Amino acid sequence: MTDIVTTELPPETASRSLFQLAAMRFRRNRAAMAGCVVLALIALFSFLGPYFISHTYDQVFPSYVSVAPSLEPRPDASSLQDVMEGVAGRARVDLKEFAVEGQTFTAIVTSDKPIDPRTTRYFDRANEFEGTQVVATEDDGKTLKLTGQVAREYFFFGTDSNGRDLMARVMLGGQISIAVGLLASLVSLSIGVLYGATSGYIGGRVDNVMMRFVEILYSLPFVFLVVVLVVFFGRSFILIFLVIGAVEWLDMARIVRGQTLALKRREFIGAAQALGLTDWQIIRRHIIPNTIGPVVVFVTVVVPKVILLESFLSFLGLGVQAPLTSWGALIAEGANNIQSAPWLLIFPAIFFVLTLFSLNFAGDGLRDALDPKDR
Amino acid sequence: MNDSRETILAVRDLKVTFTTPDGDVQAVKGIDLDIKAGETLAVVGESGSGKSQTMMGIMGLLAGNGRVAGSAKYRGQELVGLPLKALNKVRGAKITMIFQEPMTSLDPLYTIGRQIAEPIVQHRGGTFSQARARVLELLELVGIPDPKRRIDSYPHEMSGGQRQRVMIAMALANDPDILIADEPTTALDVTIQAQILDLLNSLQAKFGMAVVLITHDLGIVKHFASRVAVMRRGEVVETGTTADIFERPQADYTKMLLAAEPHGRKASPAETAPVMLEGRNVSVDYATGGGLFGKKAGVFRAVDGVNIRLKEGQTIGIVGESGSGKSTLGRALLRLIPSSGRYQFGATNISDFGRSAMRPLRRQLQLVFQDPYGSLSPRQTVGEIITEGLYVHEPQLSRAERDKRAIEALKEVRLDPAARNRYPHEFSGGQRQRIAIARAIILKPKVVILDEPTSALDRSVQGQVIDLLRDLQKTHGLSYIFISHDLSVIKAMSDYVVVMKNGKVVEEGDTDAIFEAPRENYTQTLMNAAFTA
Repeated sequence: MTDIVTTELPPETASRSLFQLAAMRFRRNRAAMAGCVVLALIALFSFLGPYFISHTYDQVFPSYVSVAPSLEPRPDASSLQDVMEGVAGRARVDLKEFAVEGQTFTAIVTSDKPIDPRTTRYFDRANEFEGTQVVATEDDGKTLKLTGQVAREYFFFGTDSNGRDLMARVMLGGQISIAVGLLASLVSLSIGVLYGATSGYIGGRVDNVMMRFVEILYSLPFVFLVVVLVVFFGRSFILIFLVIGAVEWLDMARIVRGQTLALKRREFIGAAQALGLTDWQIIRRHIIPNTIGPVVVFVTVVVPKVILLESFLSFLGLGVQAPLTSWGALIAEGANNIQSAPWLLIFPAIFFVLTLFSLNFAGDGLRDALDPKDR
Repeated sequence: MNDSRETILAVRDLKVTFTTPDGDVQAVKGIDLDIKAGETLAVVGESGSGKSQTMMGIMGLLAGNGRVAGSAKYRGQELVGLPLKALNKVRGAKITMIFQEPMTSLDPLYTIGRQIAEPIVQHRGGTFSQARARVLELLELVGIPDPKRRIDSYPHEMSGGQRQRVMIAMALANDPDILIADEPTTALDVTIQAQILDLLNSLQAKFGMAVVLITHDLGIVKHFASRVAVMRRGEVVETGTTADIFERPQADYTKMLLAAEPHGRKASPAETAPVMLEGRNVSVDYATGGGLFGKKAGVFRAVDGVNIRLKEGQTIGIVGESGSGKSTLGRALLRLIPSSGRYQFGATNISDFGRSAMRPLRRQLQLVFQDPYGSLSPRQTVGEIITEGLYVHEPQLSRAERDKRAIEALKEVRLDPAARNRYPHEFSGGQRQRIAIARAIILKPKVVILDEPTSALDRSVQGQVIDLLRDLQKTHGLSYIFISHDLSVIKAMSDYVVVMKNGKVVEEGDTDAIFEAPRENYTQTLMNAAFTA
């Protein structure tokens, strides 16, 4: 009786950590997985996209101001025809044939007298054409066959009122918004988790004082805080992270504190105390790892919130400064031109909304996956 | 015995299946049960045997991922698959249930009068004020003192035993044919447990309903049931009259259950054995109320002037009901909570030791908790959990050395050393308790305080854990303080017993003396209330 050996272990298939179980549940959630895929695609678009397009975000195209989005290259064939006729007129030749194919054009010009091959300069003078060459001379030089490159540009998303490619700007805006979202969330995460866990674990008077401090910060208006910080430190990109992180950690601290209060009464914390762990060791080894579920879920709510806050700051002119931009700044600009150029609002808004939706779906999925009741 | 009685609930080939991420789990694998009018049928089994799920399945109360198949006929009416509306005509009126946790089964927002009236109004119509007379009658029936006043009480104003009485009143409201009691007394103290069971018995005699008693406690079964069904892993192993089951068990499992009662005695250590841990005049006060600037509203004395002397190799059993301060005393002796008194560990006076002064001593004073599910951090592997103490007390050890110690400790508690790479949620309650013990003994302590280490475990597992604790005591010369409300466990484990009530020691003495001839009234009540099978 005294030697009952309990060596049987759960079957090998059951050997999964809580994290693996959560990942399994998460993968089964279609909406959440779709959200993750969309997020990954948007991130790829924003960060790798600029390497695949020829325009930079601050390149100005004076000939294409407020051009509507189109899959066709600009300028289109008919307007090129007009330009070519104008050029031919200036060169005092007649345009007999004109065709555009991709990035090259061919034209046949005639005149009563033999044409000087140097007339090609007239063609190059136009914005639209360059590298014009004579391919063939016919009729004793009275007819010239010319080819050259057409500087045709693609503006899939259109251009803004300064003639900058909106697609390049949406990509840049995405980079900045995603970076701000992630970094500011990380800042708020680390401050909030440490602060909340410490306050909740130590408890008593310390907890009282620490949480009253949080409430004081809550009561300060956000814009006021931003203006003060901007006045002191000047405008900078880093400041945006700091300001947003400094506001968002308050919620995180409260959530973590609540979790900690519940965890503190669990017996494994008592066991750790009985083993002689110091407070800091208990917070680090036991409290923080066990708050991770709700914290991860909250982060997916904080990221869109932070992106929105940054947009708000940019909208007020306190955020990123031109020629840099963010989705929020782009949307603000688009809102001003909603009648004349609605695409300026539509494209950044689509990306923004997609990102927020995906984050919310992913967050929902995470919450379900990490829910301890489902164990 | 009386087989002429009519069968009012016939369960045939009932299956309960749960859909989980790892595939379907069959909790009940096709069982047959008959419940006859007016009898008391005890459904006995260890946790996970499907005894509760069977009843939940019949009542249509399964969790969202559960499915029920088979047949359960109440007076000829099929209950399985019955539409909700028709099912509601039966449950709550003809078949009613009381649950294990009286603390959480009542809605804290309504008065108990209103909650008892609810089933009456639901099933018989009428208004709440019309039902009031009937509620008063019921409260009287279940023995709530001063029902006229208590009818307007809220649940938080009542004790656990009273709440369970309220639950019973609710269940009786519509004169049921069958009362299903799912572990009705597990959450209650032994003396109250006896009162509630007596109440159930007398109510049954008065109204003649059938009682289905779901329990893991064979002592209760022996005293109250007329028939017994033993369940194991979703199957009925054996059914029979109580006398048959207890005297002539057929199935091996039943025999094992009956034999699982903790047995054995522990001899007292030598008179000359040195004192390991001593607490004199130990008192613990809890302040109640008070905020940042508020004054302390009051003081609650949880432990009041207790003296304890633990000798080397001794096991002191501390018995008491919930709220008697026995756990608090254990923590005070380990200096884990602020307390007053004089404390001596070996030759060291530790009365004035603060947290940092105590830290080096912690490795010699260990604690094992009651709840094996709560005392292991879910996000650490078993290896990390049991070597945590080494990390604090022997930081010079290398990773490999720590791992070696973990293997040794796991072997000592008779677990496969491969367990150290797994997570606690993969282990059963008994295995987890072994892990918790491994965590305590890896530091080679001198004194271990065991706070209800077997209360959350099934009887058969309990026996194994007790044997393990005894063996460890022998090999390492440990001294134990064994805290429990379970007299049979205390009797098997300890050589000296301290009975506590309301923070004070009522009686103490050698185990045999206390169990054979208790002097105090309270101890006698405690002994009588514990139905030692």
